Amino acid sequence: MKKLIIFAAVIIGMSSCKKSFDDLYVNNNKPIGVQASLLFNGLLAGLVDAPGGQLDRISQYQLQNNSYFGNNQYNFGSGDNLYLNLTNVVNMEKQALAAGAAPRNPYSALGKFFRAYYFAKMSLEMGDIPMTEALNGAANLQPKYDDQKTVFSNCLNLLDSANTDLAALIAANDRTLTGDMYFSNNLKQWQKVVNTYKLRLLIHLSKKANSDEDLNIPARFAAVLNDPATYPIMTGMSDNLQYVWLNPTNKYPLNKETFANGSLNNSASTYVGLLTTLKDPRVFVTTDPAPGVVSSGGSPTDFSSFKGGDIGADMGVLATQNGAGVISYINRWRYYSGYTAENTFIIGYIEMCFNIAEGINRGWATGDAEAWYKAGIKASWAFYGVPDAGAMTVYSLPLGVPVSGPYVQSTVNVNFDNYYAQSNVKYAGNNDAGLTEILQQKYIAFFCNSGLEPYFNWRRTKVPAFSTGVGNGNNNMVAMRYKYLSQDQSANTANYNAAIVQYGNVDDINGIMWILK
Amino acid sequence: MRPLQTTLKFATWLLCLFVCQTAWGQGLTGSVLSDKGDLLPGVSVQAENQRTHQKYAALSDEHGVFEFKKLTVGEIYDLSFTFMGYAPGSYKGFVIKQAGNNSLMIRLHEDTKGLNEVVVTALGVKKELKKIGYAVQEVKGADLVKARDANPVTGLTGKVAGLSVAANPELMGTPSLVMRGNQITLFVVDGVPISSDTWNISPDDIESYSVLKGPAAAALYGSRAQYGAILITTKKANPKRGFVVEVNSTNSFDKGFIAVPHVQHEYGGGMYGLYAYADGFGGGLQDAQYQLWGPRFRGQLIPQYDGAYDANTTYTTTFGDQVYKGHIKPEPYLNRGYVNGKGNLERFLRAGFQTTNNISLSASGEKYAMRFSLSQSHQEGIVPNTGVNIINFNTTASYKASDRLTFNTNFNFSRTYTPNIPDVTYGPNSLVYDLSVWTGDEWSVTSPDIRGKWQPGYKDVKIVFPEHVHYNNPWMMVEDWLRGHYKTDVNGYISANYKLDKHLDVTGRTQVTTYNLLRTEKMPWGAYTYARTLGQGDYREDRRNMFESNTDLLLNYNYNVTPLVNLTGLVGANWREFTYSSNFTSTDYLVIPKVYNFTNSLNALMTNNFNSDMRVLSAYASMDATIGRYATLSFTGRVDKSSALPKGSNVYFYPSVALASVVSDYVKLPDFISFLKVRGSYATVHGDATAATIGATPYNTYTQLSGSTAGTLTTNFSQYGINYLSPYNGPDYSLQAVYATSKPYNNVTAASSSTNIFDPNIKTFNRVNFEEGFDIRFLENRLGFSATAFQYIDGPQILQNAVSPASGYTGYYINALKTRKTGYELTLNGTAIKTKDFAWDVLVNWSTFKDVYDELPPGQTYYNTFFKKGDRTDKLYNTGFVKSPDGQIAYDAGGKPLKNPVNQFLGYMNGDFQWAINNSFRYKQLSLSFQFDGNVGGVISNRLYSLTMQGGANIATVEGAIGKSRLDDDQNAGVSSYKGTYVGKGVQVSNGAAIKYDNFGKITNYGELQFAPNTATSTVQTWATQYYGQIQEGMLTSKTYAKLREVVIGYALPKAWLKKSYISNVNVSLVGRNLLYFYKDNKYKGIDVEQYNTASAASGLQTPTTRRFGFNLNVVF
Repeated sequence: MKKLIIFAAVIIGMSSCKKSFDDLYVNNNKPIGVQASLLFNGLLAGLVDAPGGQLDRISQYQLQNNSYFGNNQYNFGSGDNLYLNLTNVVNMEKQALAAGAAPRNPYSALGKFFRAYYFAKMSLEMGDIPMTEALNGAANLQPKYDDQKTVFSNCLNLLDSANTDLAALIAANDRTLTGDMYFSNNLKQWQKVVNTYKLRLLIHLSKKANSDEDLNIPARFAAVLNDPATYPIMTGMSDNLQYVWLNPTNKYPLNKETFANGSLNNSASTYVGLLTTLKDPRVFVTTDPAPGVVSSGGSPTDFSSFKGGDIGADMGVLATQNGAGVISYINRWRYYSGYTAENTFIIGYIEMCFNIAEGINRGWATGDAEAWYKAGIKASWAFYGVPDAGAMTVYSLPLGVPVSGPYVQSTVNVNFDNYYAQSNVKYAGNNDAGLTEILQQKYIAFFCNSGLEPYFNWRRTKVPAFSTGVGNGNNNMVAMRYKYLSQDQSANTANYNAAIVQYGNVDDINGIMWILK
Repeated sequence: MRPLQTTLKFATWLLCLFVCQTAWGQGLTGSVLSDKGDLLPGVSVQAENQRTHQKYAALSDEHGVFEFKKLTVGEIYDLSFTFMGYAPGSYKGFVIKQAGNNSLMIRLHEDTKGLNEVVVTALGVKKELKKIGYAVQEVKGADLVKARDANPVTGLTGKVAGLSVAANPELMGTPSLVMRGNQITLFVVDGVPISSDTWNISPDDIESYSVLKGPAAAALYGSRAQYGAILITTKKANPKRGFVVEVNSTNSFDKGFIAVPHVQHEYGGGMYGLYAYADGFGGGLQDAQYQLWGPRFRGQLIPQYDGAYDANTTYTTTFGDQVYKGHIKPEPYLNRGYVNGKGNLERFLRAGFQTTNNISLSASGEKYAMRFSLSQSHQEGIVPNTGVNIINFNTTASYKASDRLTFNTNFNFSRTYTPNIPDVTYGPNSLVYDLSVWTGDEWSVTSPDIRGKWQPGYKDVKIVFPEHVHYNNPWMMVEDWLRGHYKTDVNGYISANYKLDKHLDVTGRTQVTTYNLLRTEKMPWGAYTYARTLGQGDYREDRRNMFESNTDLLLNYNYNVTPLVNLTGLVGANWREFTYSSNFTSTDYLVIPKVYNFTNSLNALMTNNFNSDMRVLSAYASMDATIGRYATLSFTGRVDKSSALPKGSNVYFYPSVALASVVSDYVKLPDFISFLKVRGSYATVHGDATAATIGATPYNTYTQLSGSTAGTLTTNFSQYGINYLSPYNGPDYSLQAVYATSKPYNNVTAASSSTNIFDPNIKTFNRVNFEEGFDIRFLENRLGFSATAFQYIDGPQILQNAVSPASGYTGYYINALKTRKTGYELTLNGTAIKTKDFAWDVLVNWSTFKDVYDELPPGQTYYNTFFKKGDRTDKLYNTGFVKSPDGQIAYDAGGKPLKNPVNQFLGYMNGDFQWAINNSFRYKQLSLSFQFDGNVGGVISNRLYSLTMQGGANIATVEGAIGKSRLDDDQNAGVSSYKGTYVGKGVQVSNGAAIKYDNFGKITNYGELQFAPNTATSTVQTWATQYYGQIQEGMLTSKTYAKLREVVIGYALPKAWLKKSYISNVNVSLVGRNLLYFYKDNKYKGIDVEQYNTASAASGLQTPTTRRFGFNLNVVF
């Protein structure tokens, strides 16, 4: 027996422990705390809405022609869950303070911007959302929904506060921000983004400009325009908050390796039709002529060779038209022949020009709407490499030719003044016709960028006319909102039920939210 | 020697008694023999005076002789004989004569299925079955080595009620071992847990498998056994047999498909009837990521992959309005792949082959028993250039140092290795994706250019194939795209047992189980798959090391407290140490083809490692209290302290209690009932935050590989390739908030917060189990029936409960949610006929269970959106059709079925019940056994069916009305105004009213809707894509099936023939496995539904399953 005990003791001794139970419990493979800059990096990288998918269909720029790979339906599910990003914002702020930053620091200032950006984005998608009681973790598992007005009011205040903070930090020459992939830690640039973004939010509230005195939309809009020292805004394309694609780490979703997907999507007539109606040379840059039209003798530089498919049509019809070669693809030279295509705007100067033009058109501020309108169009032309006047080389890819080419090269002569002189382009003044022109040009400039903004603008203004039909699903309608985050139906039931009372107790994608009323 | 009497006093065994009565002298002496004539030492003999009821006991000595000296002359005695492993014998009314010697010779029959049979229970303790108060079923190892499957444990299929073993159709695939609806993950060898992927078990070294079904059976193992356990007893040298050599050899081949896709051979690749090749990369007309909706093979001129290229000539091919121009010379479009009634898939696959050979030596003497065994298995897969090799050595030794002290050891080494196993997932990396679903007869697997793999001048760089985005040349896939698997498993124990006295003995035991795994993948240039679109190859290494040790000290006791009460049991302690480390590295494309080395990476390497440690300290005790012949009451208790749980809640206790009573021992039952036992048990088990398996890159993903982002042990790091799960049983760290890190932009690290929050007071989860049952035998034990009912209350669980996203998190780890599982298991076994030369035995197993939500998380009326209290947990909610009030499918104006915007209840995922019937016949030296088994009920989304219907491959797309319309579609390919001719069966809303739904997808305005038959036409392709692709209800299939699982025809050479040789036994068998697969609709028979024995919503792809035929030879020297 003694021998046995010794034997057992030896064996147990051999496996003697070096770590305590508490040490063993800890997962040492991942951090339990990180620098604020790493969270900031993650937030920045996640700001972009990548083109080349559902977004382009919702805004009716592109359509899917093969229902195996997707469809063009507006059977919206839940909106984006951006609360997880907001938790990263909260933790970024905390980690900055924990690392010894002053109460007012770049992370907290930009944290306010991120909060405004994400809450507003969710509200635009879904309507009323939890905001004031949100982000409290286990302390409040059933946050109540704030009405959309409160959300927007809070967001505007957050932007004002971010602007004030950034101004103070800039004045104090604060250099503590690191890891900024967009502006190399230049806070002045961020301040312009904040105020430019505020203009966007005010524009989203256009239906409330005259009816809602609390929000004071026209005055807030005018204040930005009239006081550039307090509210610096973007002054050119170099101020854009934009995502720059990189090879090999961050390729543009459409690139020469994904070229085969190109034939599954066509350009939609909502977009192409508008361009060709306006005889807009940007169509040569963004769109290929319909391949069958060209192979049957059509010219690759004739507007009539550019045909979009009707996104409201049945998928079978679109499939057949695509098979027959009678509808266009996106321009393969620009988007598929390389890896980085174009920068993708998140909040851009061109949109700002049109937002200002719209505000002036609506009488919120005084100014030259036409000048902003023209500046927007010109900046967009420049973005697509369309010269103000002269010859432009355009490229298209016929069927039967690999992505590596040879591309068909053609020359078109363009002239901005001639283009602008057209009655449906030339600014018609601060009236409804002028507003429609602004919105049309803004829609054109939103091609493949700025996420759901073109859809939100259409929803607010119905410009340009979106195609409807069996292809929309949803009883042949374009949906007006996303459903709420599905977990709330089970986990936050009382508040969820209260929030959908306004839609007839159904989380209805055709319901009309407050800002649209 | 003459047979005197056959008695049937006890119920569970067959008994024959042969008594010789001769005059020998005073008192009574006798000898005990087995029915084979061996003398049996150690048999308990009792003599009871019929008049005084005074009892005398004796034990047979090493010559099998027993002696009673003090019996009274003239008195009449009843004698009874008991010996473990033999049916008890008795002789009633022996009269002690005054003159001469009184002598007996008795033969005991070896007991093969009696209820006094012992079974192995937790911690390797052998118990008499009649004393066990819970369900346990044993399977002899010998039953599984003849009709052996490639995998060592899949032979258990149908052998145990409540255990569902689903063979994996893939080479080296892990079978799904499901006990009462949960995956069994604990394998215990001779009382100690080992790490097993099931491949490191050598069936030739297994004496028996004991399947512990419920928590009561497994309570002594703690949480690892909460879902049951498979206890394996290894073969030991037989102390009676001296030196024995045994050879067992099985050679088998796999041929003849039982589950293979049924495909059409009339249309080739393309879309909408269109196809023209330019570069297979999208440059032509539907020449990339195409489906089988291309043109019909009519000999029409079409540019194809092997057509001549001429840069200076433009060829025009016209489809309707489409005028296609290219530089590939059009050639007649013909079926190339379907030759002699076989498509490319069938012609590519080969007959599989497996040879398994084992030789074992056992030796024993007075003080020792040793066994050495060497097994080798070589399997060639049905996919060319794939296979698996397994080498296994096993040594067991036992040495009796003294009468009190015994040492035992077991060592097992296993190496599983292969330079290439196929990757069967959904994606271009997978051969079956290529050959079963997406490519057709527009190319031939045997044509010289395809067989030659590489384009002229581009060896090892560019592949010959019609398509270069999603499909790959199959010969390149099996000969160049190689996936190695090299795993070394070692496990063993050493133990010492010391008898303190006749009541107590103490055992010290230490054990290790460890493995080392290397998996490699060589992806050549020219191969394309999801997320690897550059086509410049890759090289990956996945290295994993697991080490675990268990050290036990345990005291066994056995006391007769009063003549009526016996207490046996043990008290012990266990120390478990666990450590794991892994490393996964991949190139990001290769600079130079064929150089599979990390220094050859084009971009920055992708690499990660993972380490974990765990310790569990446990103490346990058990007690079996036997109260005479009335009952046995068993108690167990175990306390664990686990480092996988947070401080403050890392100590937890598991109790169990069980009662068994053999009613027929103390109640007079009708004669036809020979035995009746009732049993019941209760147990509670707890669990900690551990995981049974682990993947390649725990907590890590790579942006370049488009992996999913969930931070778990099984995080799927890549959009392609299997995330191989290996055995783990270590901490999963799920209860800790950590930041996730990744490199989302320009290879710069970024972090994101945990998406979970945690109740700081979280405790272990609970499973409470009640089990009741009885075992009854009829007609002299010929017919046995066993029934078990069980109830599990699972919960409060450690639940990652979905919370309002507005809280900032998605999951809240709390103790909540209870589910209640109830089930029944029935076993019938019997000997229908038994004569000297002929026997017919039957075994029937049947089982069922269902699991319902019993208590939802606090404050919730619904769980996971749809589930209410009382709902079955296996309700399948997925996309469904919109239907008219009379149940017809509603169509839109484009002739496509409408999808309900909210997921609908489509059926139950679990089967209603499982069954198995095994018959075995023996006639003299010849034996025949066969087994049918299957499942009834349950549904699954059949992905293969869905894909072949959407992709135009399924034979149903060329049959009937669909096939007729498909011909029209082909004739009208490229006609821009064509709208198809197929009219789906169903209705349309005819009054233009909008359909309104509530939050659960229920239509709320049927009153406003008028329905008329659907008249809208559609092309077959666009209709099928919606019907079978966008709507899960369209691809739902039944899980009901039956299989002729195994057939064994055996012949044992008569002993007489072998008399003069050294050979003592020769058995030869012809075996067949999986010979017939019954499924009600051939359209769906592309998958073997057997493998989906859990509540799974959707099937995947699979390599076709085959029949297996083999020959087994067993020789004992």
